Amino acid sequence: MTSPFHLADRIFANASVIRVFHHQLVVDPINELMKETGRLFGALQDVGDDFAARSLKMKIWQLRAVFIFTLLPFDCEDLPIEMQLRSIKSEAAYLPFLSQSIEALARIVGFLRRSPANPKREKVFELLINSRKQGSKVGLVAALTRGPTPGWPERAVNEIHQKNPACEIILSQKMLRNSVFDDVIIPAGGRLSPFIYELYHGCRCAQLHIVAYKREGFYPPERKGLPKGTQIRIRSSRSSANVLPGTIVEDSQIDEWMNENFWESLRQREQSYAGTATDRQFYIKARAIVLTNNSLVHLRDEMKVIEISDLVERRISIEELGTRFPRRRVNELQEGDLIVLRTSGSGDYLEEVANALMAASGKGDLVSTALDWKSVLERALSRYGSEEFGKRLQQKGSAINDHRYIWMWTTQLVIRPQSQPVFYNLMSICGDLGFRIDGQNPEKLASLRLQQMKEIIRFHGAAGRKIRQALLERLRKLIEQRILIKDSYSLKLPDLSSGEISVFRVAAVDPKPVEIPYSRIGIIKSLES
Amino acid sequence: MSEWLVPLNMKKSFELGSKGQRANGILPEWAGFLIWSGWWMRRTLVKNLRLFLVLLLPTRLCCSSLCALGALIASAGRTSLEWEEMLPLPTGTRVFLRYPDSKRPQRRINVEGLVSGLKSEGGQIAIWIELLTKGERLSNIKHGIFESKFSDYEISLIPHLSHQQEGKLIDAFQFYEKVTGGSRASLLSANSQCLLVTNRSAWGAQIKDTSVIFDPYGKSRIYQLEDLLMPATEKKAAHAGILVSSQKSEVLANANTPLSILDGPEALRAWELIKSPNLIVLLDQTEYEEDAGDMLALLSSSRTEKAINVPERIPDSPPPGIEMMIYALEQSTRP
Repeated sequence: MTSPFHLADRIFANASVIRVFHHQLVVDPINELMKETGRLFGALQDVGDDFAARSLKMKIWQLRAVFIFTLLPFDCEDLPIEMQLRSIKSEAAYLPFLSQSIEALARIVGFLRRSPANPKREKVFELLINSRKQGSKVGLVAALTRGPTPGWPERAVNEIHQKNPACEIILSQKMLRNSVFDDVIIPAGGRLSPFIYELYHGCRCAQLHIVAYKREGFYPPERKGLPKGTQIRIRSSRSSANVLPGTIVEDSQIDEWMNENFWESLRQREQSYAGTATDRQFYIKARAIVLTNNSLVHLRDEMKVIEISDLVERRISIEELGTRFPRRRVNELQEGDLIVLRTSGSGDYLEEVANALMAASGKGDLVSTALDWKSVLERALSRYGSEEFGKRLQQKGSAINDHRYIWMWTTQLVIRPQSQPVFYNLMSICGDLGFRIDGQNPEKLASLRLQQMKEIIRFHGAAGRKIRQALLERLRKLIEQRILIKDSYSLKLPDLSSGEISVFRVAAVDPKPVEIPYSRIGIIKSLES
Repeated sequence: MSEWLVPLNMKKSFELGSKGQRANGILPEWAGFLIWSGWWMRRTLVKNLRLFLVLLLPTRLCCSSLCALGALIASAGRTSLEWEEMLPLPTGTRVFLRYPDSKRPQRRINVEGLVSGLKSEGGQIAIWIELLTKGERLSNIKHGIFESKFSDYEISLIPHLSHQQEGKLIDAFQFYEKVTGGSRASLLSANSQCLLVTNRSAWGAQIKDTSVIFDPYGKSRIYQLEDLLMPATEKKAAHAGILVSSQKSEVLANANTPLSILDGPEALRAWELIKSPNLIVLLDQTEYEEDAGDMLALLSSSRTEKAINVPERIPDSPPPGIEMMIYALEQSTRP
């Protein structure tokens, strides 16, 4: 690994030599595709911006983006083009004024599929081969959009590595920041890349190659400068990338729409689910995390998740990691992070391993006994409401900031209130309201339940240690095998049969949280569904 | 050697490398420039002016450490307290003296005292210090120190290092002694020379891996940069070279160093708490966002155009990729 000083030296050295090359591709069918999708967008602008129009716009953008960004031949079966086109046709069927444009689009798509040579692929591969011949270190930017890059299935990475096995696929800002290259290739105009500024002005390479279709445009971001200061003899130098002037194309509005509306449409979609949610009466502040495998998950905004990109990408070693996994708060996640999530079974992984440990030690019914008060509390809340509980808690000297939080104690997210008096008072209120646990007043059982819950917490601790050990063992193998996690990687943990966990690459993080029903937290769903 | 280091008048040169590297170090222009920046900002105290030196860089990796090294090189040439710094000290100020024992010149006497005023004798001013000691030999003695003899004394506002403490830092002292030609004991005895506000864990990881290859063309010797910076994180780290603090620490409000280095946009947010007359602000091009921009715009609008002297014999502009700006503010101005 390059030392920080030598890494800094390379970066400063690049600052004096960096050059930007713009490889413009003039390809008529792609030009036509972009024009036609631009026309469709224009027509849809007049319809308004309701859910259906947004959905259709998103699909049109996706199809267009597959052609623009992919490095695979256009007829590659791994590209979802046919499915996308079908979906667009079926949604556009309700908008007859689009029929001519949709037919034209289908004709262009058909033409491209029948003559599949992909000029961008050819140019990028030529650059990769040249770098290989010259022995220069090359990086290829795969994060071309804020979400998952359309047209980049696993096969694309495999083919790139066939041309140049040493090529580093740059999936995140972090990967770029921790490396220096001789050449970096961006197979796009770069307008939507989350770290385009860094690519131009971060001096991580000596030569930056931008391979883009003419209509994609070319958007070198202007270098930021310092405001005027007190005059001294030394004049400030502003030298940086030897950047050519940009070209801006007429239908860039589509990309702008995508940039601005992507998160808004996701939030609206979630709110539409929230409107129909009946299974839980309370909502949790959560953040949408888009994963590079084209899926989406909402995670509690304030929770911490295991984030292992530094480990997997060898910026730190397992030995340096010490005794704890690196965890990051959901609202601090960023593009390129690698997070560990549960992908099979239901509920929390820790809980399930803990349950297995309890069963093995002959305490299989500990959870159902110790937490039997949760269902009673839920029934009581459903009947009397959390506001009433809040008032009664206050009268008993256990005021809480937001009465809606009482619902949280009915879930498995928290085992019990942090404060014991609050728990006693909660049970006492249930008793006062006439609720019983197995015929007994909950207040009388409170002490016993607290003891049992302490035991559950001990099992959770043991489960955490076991998972950590197994996960480390698995990650060690993954690191030894030098596996690049582009999208996701499933990890079956040795000796732990309960379910499967996976490492996911974060493609984008919603800058704003949304309030969603508790039951929708942690569910990995398709971005396109 | 980098052109930027010419004004430092270094007696011996050094280069930089990675931990474990035995030879073939380098001292590129960018590193020379950052060392110069720290050196210049530590030395340039302009009456009634606060100086902000803002550097916009392609990366902040290692940069704050190099500025701090420059600041320490600038400090190493100084005696504990200068004559001019002694003159305004009020009567009763507690000071710590160290001076050669007249009976055994190899030994130095290390003693506490109180400033008891100024007296003019034979047209010369003497600073009088009453020694505070229970030892019979020195008790109730008053020293009158004339400017001509002032260099025999090391006077500080905090206790001098003991022999054992000095032993621990001997390597670093030797480095500065040889680089600057200054006296060993004078180094750092007044106070920490520089406050560095940064992400402590990330900074710690960077600095551990950087070494300074001293006298590369002679009898070369390798130092760890960390050892030379003598970092401390405690508020009362008396003999630290630099104080390292996070932007949220209480240390910020209490530190009274002549120079502070704010490493990154998070650190910049803490600038209002900093008392140092001079500040260096390091920003990475890619982190230079709206918040930092607003703050700098404020500095720009509050700046004065009073002349600031910059040493001769240095290049006319910073190395490629570095943008530099000075904002000089009247002490009374709060942007």
